[in-house]
Amino acid sequence: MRRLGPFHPRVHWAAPPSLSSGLHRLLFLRGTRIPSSTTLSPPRHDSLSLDGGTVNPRRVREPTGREAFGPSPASSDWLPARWRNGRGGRPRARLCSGWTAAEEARRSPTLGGLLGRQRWLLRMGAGRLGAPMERHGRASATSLSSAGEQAAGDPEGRRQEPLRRRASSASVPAVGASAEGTRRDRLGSYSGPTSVSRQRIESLRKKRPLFPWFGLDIGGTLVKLVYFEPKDITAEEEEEEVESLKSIRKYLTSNVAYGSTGIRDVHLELKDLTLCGRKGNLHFIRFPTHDMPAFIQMGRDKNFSSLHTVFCATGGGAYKFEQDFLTIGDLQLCKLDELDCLIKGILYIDSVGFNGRSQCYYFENPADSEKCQKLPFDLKNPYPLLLVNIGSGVSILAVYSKDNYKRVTGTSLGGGTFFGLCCLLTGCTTFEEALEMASRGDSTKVDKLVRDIYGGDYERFGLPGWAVASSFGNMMSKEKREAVSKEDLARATLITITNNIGSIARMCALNENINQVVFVGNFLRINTIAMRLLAYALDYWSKGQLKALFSEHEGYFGAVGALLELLKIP
Amino acid sequence: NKPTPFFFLRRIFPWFGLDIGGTLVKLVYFEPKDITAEEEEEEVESLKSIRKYLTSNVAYGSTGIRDVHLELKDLTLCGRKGNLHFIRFPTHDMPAFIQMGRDKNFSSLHTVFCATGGGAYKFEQDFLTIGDLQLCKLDELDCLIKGILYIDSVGFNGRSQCYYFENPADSEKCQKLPFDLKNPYPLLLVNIGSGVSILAVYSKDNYKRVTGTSLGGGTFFGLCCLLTGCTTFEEALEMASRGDSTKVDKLVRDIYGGDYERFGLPGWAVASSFGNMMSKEKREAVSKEDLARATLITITNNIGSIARMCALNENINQVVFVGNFLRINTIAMRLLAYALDYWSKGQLKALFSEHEGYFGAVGALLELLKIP
Repeated sequence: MRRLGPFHPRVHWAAPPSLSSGLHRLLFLRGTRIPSSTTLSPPRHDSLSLDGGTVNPRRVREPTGREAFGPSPASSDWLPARWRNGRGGRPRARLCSGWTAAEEARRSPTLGGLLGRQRWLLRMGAGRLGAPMERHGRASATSLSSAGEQAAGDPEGRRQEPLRRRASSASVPAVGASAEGTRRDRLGSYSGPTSVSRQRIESLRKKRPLFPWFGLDIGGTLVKLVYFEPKDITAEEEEEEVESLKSIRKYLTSNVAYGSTGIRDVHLELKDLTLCGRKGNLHFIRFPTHDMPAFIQMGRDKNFSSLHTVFCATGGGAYKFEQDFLTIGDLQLCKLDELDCLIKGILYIDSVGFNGRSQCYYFENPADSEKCQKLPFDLKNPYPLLLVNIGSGVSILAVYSKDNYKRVTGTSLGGGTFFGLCCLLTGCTTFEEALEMASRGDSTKVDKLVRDIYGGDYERFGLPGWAVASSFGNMMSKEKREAVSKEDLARATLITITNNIGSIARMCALNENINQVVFVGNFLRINTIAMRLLAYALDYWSKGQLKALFSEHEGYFGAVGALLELLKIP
Repeated sequence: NKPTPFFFLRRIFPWFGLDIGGTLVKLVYFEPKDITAEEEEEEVESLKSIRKYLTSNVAYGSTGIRDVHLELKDLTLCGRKGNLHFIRFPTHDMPAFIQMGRDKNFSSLHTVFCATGGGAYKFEQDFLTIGDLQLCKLDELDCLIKGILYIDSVGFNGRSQCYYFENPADSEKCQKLPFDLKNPYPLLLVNIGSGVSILAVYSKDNYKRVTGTSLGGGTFFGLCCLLTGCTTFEEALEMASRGDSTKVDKLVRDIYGGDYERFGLPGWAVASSFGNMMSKEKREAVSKEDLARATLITITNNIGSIARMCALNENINQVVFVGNFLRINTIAMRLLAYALDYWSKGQLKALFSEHEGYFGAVGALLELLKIP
């Protein structure tokens, strides 16, 4: 196999300029859970599912795209449409779909394979110092001899390494099989390839991608980033650690604010989490999507691409910014569907809990300021569930099982509407400011209530006098306009948007025959008014049939799901 | 069978139907054209003056308007032949209306005033104490259904009452075409007034209120007043007709860079209404017309979406939109027509009605005349 010479740090495994950035990636159809209802692209073969979403390596090696699935069912535009970068499309297989480079090398005989091997070599440090690195390590009987078959390793085994042994030189990768074979033969010694560290072999064998581990969710308003900070780094690993990786780790974990708009939600940090056999803390960071160009630029300046890590990203921005990541940041995004990630993320986070506490909660007596309590809720029977994701806009999903969900509907009157209208009506500039004003306002001056029209209740149809008949309905009157404050307007905007979402959610729950409704998304961040209103309204209008549930990590589930995809955690 | 005295009492002129809504009062007045010389001689002076006042004006005071184009001519009601007039004025002027009733001594006519809408309850006491008039209160949705079925049956001066839009999204090809509502049931009736009520109608006497939404015509008008400084509904619509909502709203393509194909969301669909307005630069780049347009689109789309969900769940495929939000509001009607068709993949049909906002008042009139 051709050994590549010393590498410029910027050279990496992406396709040479003559290829479109999509072509070097293997293409396969993820098993989609719902039949596509799109009229935009030709009908897809959604029944083709690979083991319900898990990757079958044998399948992936086959030619994919048009050849695999027969003649194109519709327009001749189909193939170019599939490759449309940043324009949507199905989640595509990534060259490095969380596989280690060694696996790619073995399984991708095509160009992708060549590039994968290059990449693997670079990761092994072969390029950095211009010579194979000598690594030390002691074979630990437990971890090495038996760990070959297991994907998740035993962290304890790795820690017992007082002795170091010199590894013999080897020139060729093909790490997985031979290294395992070697180690099994000689239990107490280590004579694998010199250019490979024991930790890296562990990583590869346990099918772990290399650090850093990020999950990115690029939404309409906010970018959510989850970062796994390993706390079980051995001295050896630390020594090996590439400088840029170390600086990323330090930068992220020693700050709570980044630039002028990035924020780490420290209170959400999940401590002592075990992911893929590594122990560490999971950090939750957000910044406005508006600052995405700056983020990509930072990636470029800090040479993220040299880390050759896979960036798993979801949300619309994963598609929108894909090209920018590539051309400016030299980073290949692995694009994932936002709703897939959302579901994955929320189920995972609910399963690990929140530092010993419950992730999921509800409100008792939501309408009573004094008696209102936030109480934990054990989501032990999660299915079926109605999931209402309130971001810039709203998506409503009916979740029947881990792998079976559908998008019931959505509404464009979401968090972005609340924030946008508030900015227009009150002159506020931040979400926090809008909420703060709303907390001090009285929406009943702005809205026309049932009692304003009926003089009391509309009993015939069970509409109490205090119910809103017409949001902002008083504002057509000049005198009433002059009598309201900005705070009243902010409050009315919040109430209007929240009630509308609650009403639509209630209708969906009724029609899907689901009685637990989980509200997530960053509209609810620090927004107790909205949460209590949703809780109250759902309970009231359903006559106690529906329960509104909330989640501590609100808006981060998509990013968590993306991280889980990176780590191939099902 | 000899008619009871009560029967006669209700049939005494003038014949009014009143619908006192959250924003507008709708009044229908039956003008008899078959008055005999004898009857005219007997006619009480105040009754004659009411008749002349209403029929010789098209505007009343500073805010009352008679929609002449909606006048139903040569209608036969309870054996009498005449014209049905449609008048509206803001609910805000209700006190003035009651005062006028007092000044003109309506109570001496001993007529029954059938009124529906929330205001029939809210102003009942005022009618009594100030105007000495006893209201007969009727439910607004009962009257709505009654009214729409009746008006559809009599047609509109020979034309169809009910219509739909062909090619609603195409400004050049868009056509308003008559629709024969011969199989009216089941029907989803979406009444867009200040607020919205959605009814599933299974037969003349069998309907239910499926749901409602508080984001209705009042929201559109109220928000427009706040955002643009306009003062009338007409002005708000006129500004909206000249605006571009895509500068205000965040579309799917603004977030995805294109379509969100996985779930069939085209790039031009609105992902977040007013979503661009959190950005200072974008706020400075939009005009009042853009804001008015965005408000109209937002409210209309929300109503359409909720209506679509109800139609789907009630298994009904014809949806009739009524209410004064749609008055002179072709943009909203075409958008509802387009959206319903698009998102339901052609399964649902959006229908409209010429007498939009007056069905409640007509229903009240029919109750007065005990017309089943």
